[in-house]
Amino acid sequence: MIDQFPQLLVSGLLTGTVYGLVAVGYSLVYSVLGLVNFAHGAIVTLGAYTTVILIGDAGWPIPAAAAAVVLIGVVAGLSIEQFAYRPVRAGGAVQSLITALGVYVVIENFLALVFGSDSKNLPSTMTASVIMLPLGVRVTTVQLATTVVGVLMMVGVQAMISKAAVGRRLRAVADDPGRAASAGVNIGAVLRLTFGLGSALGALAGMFIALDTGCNPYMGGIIGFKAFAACAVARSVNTQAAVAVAVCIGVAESLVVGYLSSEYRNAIVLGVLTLMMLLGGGALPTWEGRARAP
Amino acid sequence: MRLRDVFVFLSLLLLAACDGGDRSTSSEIITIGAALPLTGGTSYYGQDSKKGIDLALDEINGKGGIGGSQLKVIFEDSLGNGQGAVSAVRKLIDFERVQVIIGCGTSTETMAAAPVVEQAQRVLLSPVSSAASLSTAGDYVFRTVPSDGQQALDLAAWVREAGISKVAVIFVNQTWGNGLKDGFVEAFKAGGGEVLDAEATELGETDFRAHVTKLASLSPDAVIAVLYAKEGGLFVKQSRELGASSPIFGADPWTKADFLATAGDAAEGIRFTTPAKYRGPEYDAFAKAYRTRYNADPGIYDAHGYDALNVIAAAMTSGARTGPEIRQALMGVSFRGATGETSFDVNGDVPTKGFARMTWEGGHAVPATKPPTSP
Repeated sequence: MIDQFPQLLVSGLLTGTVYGLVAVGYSLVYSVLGLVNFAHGAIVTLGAYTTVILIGDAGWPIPAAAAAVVLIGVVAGLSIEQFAYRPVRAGGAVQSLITALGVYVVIENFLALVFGSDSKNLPSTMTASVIMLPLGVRVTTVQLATTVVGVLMMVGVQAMISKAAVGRRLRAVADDPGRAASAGVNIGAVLRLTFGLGSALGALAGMFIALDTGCNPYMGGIIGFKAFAACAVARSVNTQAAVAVAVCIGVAESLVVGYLSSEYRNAIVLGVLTLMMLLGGGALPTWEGRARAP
Repeated sequence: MRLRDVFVFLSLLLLAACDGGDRSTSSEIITIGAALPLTGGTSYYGQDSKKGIDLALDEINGKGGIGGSQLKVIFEDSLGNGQGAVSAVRKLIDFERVQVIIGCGTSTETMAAAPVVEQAQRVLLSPVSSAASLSTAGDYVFRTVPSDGQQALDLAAWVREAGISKVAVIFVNQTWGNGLKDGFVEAFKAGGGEVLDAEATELGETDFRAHVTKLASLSPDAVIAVLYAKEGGLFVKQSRELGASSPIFGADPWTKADFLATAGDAAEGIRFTTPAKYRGPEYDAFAKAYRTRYNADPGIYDAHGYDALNVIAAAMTSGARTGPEIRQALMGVSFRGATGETSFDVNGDVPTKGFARMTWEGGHAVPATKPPTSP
């Protein structure tokens, strides 16, 4: 049984990287806005559909499609922020939460209406080649590219947050929006940047999933929930912790299926979340809205 | 406030006047229901059956309908799950007042709908559902496809004949998957084989890598995958990507092009059992009409949808119009059509039909003749 461990670990790390990419978007928005952006899962689905349609149906090369995916993610994210969240922000956190869920349902059903509730896959002629790693571990080129690009993006975002000027402003708003505003920070611009960046990463995560296993209108739900669980466990303020937990969820799923039973695969996330809530007391992020920006 | 009351009263009056009564027994049109998964992960069952039904409908009406009355089929989407099936069947029975329903798709759906039709005494005839448990699901449940009780025996026999004695099984945690898995395991062990493990997966699963790794670590001679078409294709593809090279056997949904679409090149040489294609003049006539109308070759479930409506029409020719009457008439029907001879036993099954051994070769599902070897 030991011989499956390296492969299980690697498969889990690869899946976890995708979860991590989605978790970054969740975490960024929460840390700056105090909003649990449940619509984030829908952005992932949008990215996946864009990928399948542009690469599969329209025959675009991958780099061009990736650019389009990022664009669509950013546009969708900013639109949601502008038209769905901004108007209800003054109403409090519960209102924002319900709006977020509503946006998710609308996007999900819109996709099902337009493209059918069936799953779509890339043409069978587009198969990824297999790469052999040590210890008998095998990965596909798609999986490897996903991990490399994903890790680079997450590292890049982290570097931006901690070192760049715009990152300083982001952290200022996250810490204390009132003081940041009086120090001259453009709160609105920071919020837009946060949403745009988070959504771009979420849409890219959708692209990576689609390249591997295609898309369906409901895929955003469970993935969004896993990313949310990662944020909740990491108390959501620290993006690096959220990513680390997300990767752990991916690995845990793989090991549970490999060593226990595949029936518990999705239960692992729920189990971890429940455990954290029981142990940590206030493990879930508090619901009060944090940045009451204009 | 008074104006509002008047408005409400008038609306209620209008609604009451709209009640259509028992439409299905009017002398003008006979209405038949169809509860099939037109959307969702198993929509290929519903869409294929619908094509067959539509073709049969036009043919029957073109020949004058049933006893001079034209036929009409009302389709409801059963969504591919139990709740959707119950919803669809309820709507057809309560609102459309049909006496017979063609449905459903997956065995989960049909098993969920079975108690509803049984209590309402309406006939449910499935062109797709193969789970063995359907045989005892009720007096009003029929099907045109053979039972998995037979498929389990056929599949186990095929695997044993190939000289394979140790297998690992992966199955979808649905009525069909559980039933066929249980049947196969029992038959395979009875034949002297060993089942090393049976892993459950959920409907719609896309990442099987951990499952593949686990099953491969047990070193089976073959893997038996009781999965639907898309999931099966992804499982096969990921198996080959991860270097799991033992032969893989699948079951009836793998006849669908959706399997090929997700498996890609990995589909080559994959073996599966599926309801046997009937080769006779009735099938040829059906296939010709199908090609003319749809500009494509018919699949197994298109043929079964076609026969389902024809069988109902045959039962109703004698004058049967209510659920109990149609049920009685169906027991005596013997219809030779696109899927061969359809005649029902006391359980509503078709014991005369069988399964065929097939394989994917060069992008086509063909009868399997070569003995299974590792790719």
